[in-house]
Order: sequence, then structure tokens, then C-alpha cells
Amino acid sequence: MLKKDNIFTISVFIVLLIIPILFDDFYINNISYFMIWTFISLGLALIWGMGGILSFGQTAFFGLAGYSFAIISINFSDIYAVGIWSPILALAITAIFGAIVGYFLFYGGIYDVFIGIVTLAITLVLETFMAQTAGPEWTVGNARLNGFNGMQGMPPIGIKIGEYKFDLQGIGQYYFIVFLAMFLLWLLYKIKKSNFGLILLASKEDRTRVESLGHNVKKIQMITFSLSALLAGVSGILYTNWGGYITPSSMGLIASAMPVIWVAASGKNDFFSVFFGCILLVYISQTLAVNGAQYAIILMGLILVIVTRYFPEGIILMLKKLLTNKFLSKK
Amino acid sequence: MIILFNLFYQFGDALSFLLLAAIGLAVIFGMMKIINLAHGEFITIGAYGTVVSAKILKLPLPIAMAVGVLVTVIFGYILERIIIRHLYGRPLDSVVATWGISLIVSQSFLVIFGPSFEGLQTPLSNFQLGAYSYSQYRLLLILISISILILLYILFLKSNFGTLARATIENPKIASTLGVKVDKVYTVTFCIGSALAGLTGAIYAPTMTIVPSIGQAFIVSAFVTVVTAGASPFIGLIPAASFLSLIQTSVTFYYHATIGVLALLFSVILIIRFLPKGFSGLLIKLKK
Amino acid sequence: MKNQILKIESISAGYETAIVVNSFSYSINQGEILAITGRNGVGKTTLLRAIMGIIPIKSGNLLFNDENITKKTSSERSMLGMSYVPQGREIFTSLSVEENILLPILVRNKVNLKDKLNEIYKFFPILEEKKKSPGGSLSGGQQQQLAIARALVSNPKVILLDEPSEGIQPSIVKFIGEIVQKISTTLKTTFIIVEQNISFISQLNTDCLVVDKGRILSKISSSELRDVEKARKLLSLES
Repeated sequence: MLKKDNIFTISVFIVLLIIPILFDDFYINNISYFMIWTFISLGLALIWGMGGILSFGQTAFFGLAGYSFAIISINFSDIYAVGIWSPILALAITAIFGAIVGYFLFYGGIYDVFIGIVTLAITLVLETFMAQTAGPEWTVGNARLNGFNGMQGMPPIGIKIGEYKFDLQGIGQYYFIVFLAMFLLWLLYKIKKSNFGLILLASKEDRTRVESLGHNVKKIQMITFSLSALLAGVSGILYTNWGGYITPSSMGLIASAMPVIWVAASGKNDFFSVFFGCILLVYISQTLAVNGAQYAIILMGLILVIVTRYFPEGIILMLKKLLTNKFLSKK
Repeated sequence: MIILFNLFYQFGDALSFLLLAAIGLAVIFGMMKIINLAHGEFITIGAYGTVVSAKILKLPLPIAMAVGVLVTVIFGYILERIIIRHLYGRPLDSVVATWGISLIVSQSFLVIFGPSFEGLQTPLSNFQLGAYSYSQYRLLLILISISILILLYILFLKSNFGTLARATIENPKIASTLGVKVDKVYTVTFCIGSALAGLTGAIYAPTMTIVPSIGQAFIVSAFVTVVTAGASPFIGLIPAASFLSLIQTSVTFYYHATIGVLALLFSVILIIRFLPKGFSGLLIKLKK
Repeated sequence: MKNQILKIESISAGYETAIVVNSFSYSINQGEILAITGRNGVGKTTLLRAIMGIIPIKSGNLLFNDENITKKTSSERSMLGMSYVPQGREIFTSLSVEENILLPILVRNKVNLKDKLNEIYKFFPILEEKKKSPGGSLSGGQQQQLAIARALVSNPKVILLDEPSEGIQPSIVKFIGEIVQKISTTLKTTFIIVEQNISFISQLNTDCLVVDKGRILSKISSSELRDVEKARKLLSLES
């Protein structure tokens, strides 16, 4: 069954699936890079758009996952299938850390803008901490944390079976990300339609009322927060795998603003808009950054201000609705 | 004795830094429930305004500082008129918008002034006490931060504007039915907050390396202080800043500065966990 | 011919989802008291809020002294000479009693604050006793007096009173009724009072509109209201 709401999603994925036929490795690698950032954005859309909870510190989970993956895979590079279980273990660590932070936040009665500040503090703590690990005494097993320059030289995600070796790179990486994005979008859509999602949406409007109906809102918010951390972790691991490095600045003040910009500008209430908008905005930043990163950041800042002031719903979502009404509303 | 003075000096220095870093943010948050994420950049503007007018226009330092404050106020005024005022009642959106402003301003400074700018000499001289050397200017900053707090206290609790402002915070709709121009009260408040941030930048400018990210040195301290102060920063600011600077000073004393900052951030996370309404919430509870 | 101070010309108002006041029209003369009654949720409070400019008027016109004020903010309406005593008083709990009373004067051309305060304290002696206390420490009846005092201090031509007797002990209700009547006769102030307490209404020299579903259902004259029992019957039949 083809719902009209899905037409955009399906056409975008069709385009994404045929891109490798038309373009060479350089473009495929770039588009992979753009798509890597969609997961952290989807996580933020989940917690912010659906849960009404604005976290400024998603990059903390991004960085934690990236560093965990790097540390584990460097230390256990000899053990069989490390390229499979080290990212999974890193994700588990991130999700647990997310749950712990969520427990602190929601069971501690922290709400509204304070959540933003506390999560921002967490990501800045991690950045500050990692940045001062330049000295040789900062090692975890065989892995040197390497301070501000970041970690590198970790083995990629992949597996070796006998003679056959598969690394998650190039076109394989590209298709892996596309299918993962498809799966996660579908999953998020299911969550939104589920009881869990409905309670979460309702708690955004009136937390106390939902609680008085007997739902454990704190627990639901904690789980959602952990899920959003997990999604940020997916980005962190894929990013580390893509470039073969991870640095503390990926958890810094400017880095943590980016997911907020992508999600706000795209439309936090619609997962597809966030997915598509994020790719577009990362592409724009990347293109502009050729002339100096500061110009790209200024533009992103401008977009954020203009969107919140004039298009609080988000530009991509607005365009999507506009197109739907114009071309698809008649039966 | 010297050790004691040394501790007092370190503590006072950390305390005045936290107070001055937070004060502009606290005024705007306390009055309008808006967390101004561009607060650090307001400080940057104050610092650059001061340094540029002292270095390029050759103005004497106190006048250069006044120029720095003035430039920040003008910037804050324009910002409030064209953006912030449209976001009242949408606290999350206003935070997000000010984050955008923060990026624009900090990166524009990088484009305009380059990665660093020739700084100023710290005014006044140092003096020696035992093995340690102390800056008179930093002692002056401790005095300044306390005087600013007293002035603000008088402004908000004793003046006519203070009455209007407190009424507006408590119930803007009803204040409006009594003839209070709520918009104007907000604009003036935002400008006061901007002026305080600008002043912080101006008076710290001679003590720091002037870089476009200078505001970031303050912003974390500012946030943690305001957050631990809680919903009524006017009540909670002093206890919060004292507590945090005590932690930072003692940890820095035993370990080193980075660990001091980490201890600061970590204690905030813990305070928020156990005192979600911050120090002001605790004080109000104790009073009852 | 009497001067019509406030003309309500078929105004509609409400909230995002629902129109609560439905083309409501009425004109009130200077110095008159008008009572409005009706069951809960029929739009009485919404009407007062729309007249005061707290919520926007969606259609229709509102004329004050023949000036169209439909689009004016509540602060502008206040400056023209309208005052509002909201339901539940909504005094500023963190301000002292005296600061509450002085607030409207602070935003107007300077008058002699002392004289003005004494004038107010003559009407409400209890407020002078408590002038330094925080507004939040007053009892319900005292808060109601403070809210009326706060509305009166700016010398308004029209005062809108929303449920002044709600949650207040009978002796104070009677006292407030007397004060309202006294202000009306001595200062020629116009009152619009939303009220469900019939004995309070009948204490005043006023006509009473019965409102339902945002419209006027009927009008009971002041002479009919004199007899509380009869008025009660009339009202219970109507509503």
C-alpha cells in the first residue's frame, strides 16, 4: 500500500539506491559522510520533536561511542570478529550511559531548559577531559587517547572469514548506511504510532495529566533518552569508522550546536524531513567550508535564527506539506 | 597568615569570575526565563569593544571600557527588537535562536579580527606577599563584582523600575492591565543583562588573551552558576557562586586547573540531581 | 442624553479552539453599574478579558468614549481609563501591599503619591495596616480589597470586576458591595461586574444581564433584583 505521506521517503531512497550506479567513489564516500550525521539528528528529533525535551549534549553520546569503539577495537584487534562486536559493545555502553544520564535528569526532576544546560555541561566535561589527555600517561590498555589531536589507527568495522575480508568502506559502507537509515526510519515511525509513542507525545503537552492516568512518564522519557543516545552513538561509530579518527572537538560547543540546527531547520516533528534536511545541510556546510569553516558556521547560525523566528515548524517539513497539499491532496 | 590570604585571594578571584560571568545571564534568565546562549558572545563584544577602542582609537582604558559596554548594549537592544521579543513564551525556541546568534557572532569575530588580537596590559601593579605575587587589579575585580551585586539588588528591590520589573516577572498579563508596558520592561531588562555581560568582557579584557572565543571561557562558568542558583537567580546567585568557587579553588589547589574545571562541571550535575530547583529553591524551602 | 462610556458592538472572542463570546453587544453609560451573570463556562470571564485586551477580539468593535479600542493592548486600554480586577484577584504576591497599589501610578504622570495612597486607605483601612506585608500574606478578602484598590488608584472611568465575592466570607462580600456602590456614586466610576452571587448583585443599584453561550439571554432590571428571592427564581428559571 502506497500512502501519499510516504512518496517523498520512497523517492529519496530510490535516488539514494541508484546513486552508486551514476557516481564514482569520491561522491559515494561524501554522501556516506553526509548520511552518517542523520542518525544523531534522528535521535534528537525523537527526544526533542516527540518528547519535547531539548538536549544540547547529543554530541556527548556521539563522542563516547566513537571513543569506545576506537579504544575497544585497538585493544582487541587480535580477537576474532572484533570489527563486528566492538561497535556493538560501544553502542551498548552508549545506551547504558544514556540511560544513566536520563535517570539523573528525569528522576531528579530536571525539566525544560535546564535539561539543555546539563546535557551541554556533560558534553563539555567530556570534551575538556579528552582534550587534556595528550600526555603518555593517558592510555587505556594499548590505546593512547592522544588529547586534542584525537585517536586514530583503529581497525575498521568489518569481518574476516578465512581468506575473505570485508571492511565497511566505500560502496559497502554506503549501502550499509542507506539500509540502516531505512530500517531506523521505519522503526521510528513504528515507535511514533505505538502506545509508547503516544504516551510520549502526550507527555509533551501535559506531563502531570499523563502521569495521573497511571503512566510512568519518567521511565518512558528515560528510555527515549537512552534511544536517542544510541542513535547519536551510531553516528559516532560510523564517523570514527569513516574517517579513521575521533577528536575531542566533536563534543565541543560548536559541534553540539550542529544537530540542533539540522533538526530545527528541517522540522523536528517529522523524521523523514530531519533525515533529508540533515543530508542537505551537512552538504551545504561541507561545500561552504571549502572557503573557510567560519563561513559555513555563520550560515548555519543564520539559518537557525531565521528558522526559529519565521518558520518554527522547520523548512523541509513546511515544503513537504506544501508539496503534498499542492500535488497530492486530490484523490 | 600568608596561606590564608592566598586562599582568600584564590577564592575571591574564582568567586568574582563566576559572579561576573553569570550576572548578565542571571538577570535575563531570572526576569524573562530565557537562557541566552549568546551570553559568551556578549562578553566577547564587550572585550573587543574595549580593546579596539583602547588600541586603535587610543582611548584611555576606563573610557574604552565604557565604549565596550555601550557597544554591547546597542547590540543587545537590536537583537531584542528584531528577534528575541518574538520568542517570548517559547523558551526552548529562544534558547535555540540565541545559540544561532552565538555561532554567527563568534565566527564573524574570527573573520573580522583574525584568530587573535593584540591584548592590553593588566593595569595597576602586582605586590609581593611571602613567596606569592598578587595582582592589585584582580583584587579590584573582587570589589567590583560585589558592588555590582549591591547595585543590582538596589535596582531590582528598591527602585520604581524594580517594582515594575518584579510585577512583570510574576504576572505579565495583569501588569499590562495596570498600564505597565511589558515589552518595554523586557527590552530594558535585556539591555541591562547585555550591559552586565559587556562590562564583564570589558573589565576582564586587560587580563586575558583576546581571541574570538574569549566568551567561551566564561560561558560554561556562567551556565553552571545560573543553573545551580536555580529558578530565582537573585536569591541563589551568591550561594551558588560561593559554593562552586569553593570547590573549584580547593580542587585546583590540590590538583590542577583542568581538574578544577572538571570538578566544577561534575558538581553541577550532582547539585542539579539532588537540588533540581538549585540553591534558590533550597533557600525558599528553608525559609518556609 | 447620557454619555455612553463603553460600546460593545457585536464582539466575538475566544481561544484557539472555540469561540466563547458570540457577537455580544451592549452599551453602558458613565456612572452605571452593570452586573452580568450566568452559569459557569458561558463566556462571562472571556468577555471581560476581551474587553480588557488580555485576549484578542476576533470580530466586532469596542468603543471607549467613542474611540475605537478594538486593537489596543491592555496596557493602552489601562492608560485610557479602564481597570480590571481579575478572577482570583491575581495580586502580585512578591510585591508589598503598598507596591501593589502604587504600581499603576508608577507608569503614569506623577501625582502626589502620599495623597493618592491616603485616598485609597480611606476606602480600605485594612490595607494601610498591612502596607509593608507581602501581597501573598493577605487573606482572600484582603487580597480582593487590594485588587480593587489597585484597580482604583489610576482614577479609571470603567472598572471590570470578575467574581469579586468568590471564596470570600459574607461580611467582607457585603463590605465590598458597599464600597463599590460608594465609589460609583462619589467618583462616577462605571462598573461591569461578573458575578454569580445574587445577594451581592441585589445589594447594588444595577441591571443584570443573564448570559448563556456567549450571548445575552435576558435582562433583569434593578427593581426586580431588589427582592433577592424573586431574583433568584428569575435567574434559576433563565439559566
